[in-house]
Amino acid sequence: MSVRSQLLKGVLDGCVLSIIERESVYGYELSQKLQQAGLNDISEGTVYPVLLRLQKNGYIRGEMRPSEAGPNRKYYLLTDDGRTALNELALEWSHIAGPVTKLMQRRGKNDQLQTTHPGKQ
Amino acid sequence: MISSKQLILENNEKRKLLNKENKKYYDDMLVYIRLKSKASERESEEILMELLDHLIDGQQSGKTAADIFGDDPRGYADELICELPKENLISRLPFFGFLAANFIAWFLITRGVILLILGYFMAVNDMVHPAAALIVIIYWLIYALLMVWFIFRILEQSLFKKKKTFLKQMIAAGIIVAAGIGLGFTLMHFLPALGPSFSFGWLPSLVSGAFLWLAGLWANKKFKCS
Repeated sequence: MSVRSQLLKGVLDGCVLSIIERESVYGYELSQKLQQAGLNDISEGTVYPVLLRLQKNGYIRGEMRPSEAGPNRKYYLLTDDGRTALNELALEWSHIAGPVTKLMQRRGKNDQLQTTHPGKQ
Repeated sequence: MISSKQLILENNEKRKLLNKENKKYYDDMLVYIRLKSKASERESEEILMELLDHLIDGQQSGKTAADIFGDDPRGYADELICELPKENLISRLPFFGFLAANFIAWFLITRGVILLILGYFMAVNDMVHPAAALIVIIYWLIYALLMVWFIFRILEQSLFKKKKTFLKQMIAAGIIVAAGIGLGFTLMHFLPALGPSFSFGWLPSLVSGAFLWLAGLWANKKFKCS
């Protein structure tokens, strides 16, 4: 597994929930939307274990209905529990994403890490 | 709501749309998930249908099953099975009860028929020793369960392989099945006449078997155990 997909695995639940929050989708659509969002390193099949897990936790629920193309598909909808979980995830993510991005961007720029450190020079 | 039986029928039809390579990949995954999933039939069939729909859509844009689900079908299937909800043992109990009742019913019916036919040619001993009969029935029940488990294992091992080694496994299976039957008949033959006994002729055997079978059929229809 690449570093990128390892990193992604942990946050994929949040990505999937946030897509389903906007509109109900079925598996194939979901994988397309993730790729359109720029997450094209993950294989399409990755969404199904995630969907099963979210469904088992009661964050989403499935509903059979005709797709735009015609045949029946299992559409996923966000539940109230799912919305709560997504809010929490988004909050946690905002706590992590900012500092991590800063730390990563600071690399190579004069090593400011040491100047901010209160330890002895 | 679509029943799992309908899903299976629909799956059979849609699978025909897959090309040879994708069909092989999907078929192995399908058998593996059906064998190993601890979830209800409906939940297993639903995810199998989603995977199939996705694969058919992907095939139309020139993707292979390995492009979509990865190069490790067994690992992917294990991941899915792990995320599927597990049905608890109690909810599966009616199913095993149904199997056992069906098994005993056919045992009684077969016994009735054999006694009836043999009765035309010779004097048959239709005495039953309940204690000994219980041992025999338990033996055959355990035998049936072991065989089911054994066949599942053989099937499972034959999946996800480039080269099929089915013949060798079938021969091994045949030997084990025959050995189990042989042991069963030896047991029936040499088991001493334990405890009290009563006469249980072909007619009561046949009637009680048929009754049990019909009762199982009715219960299955009413409560959908299987």
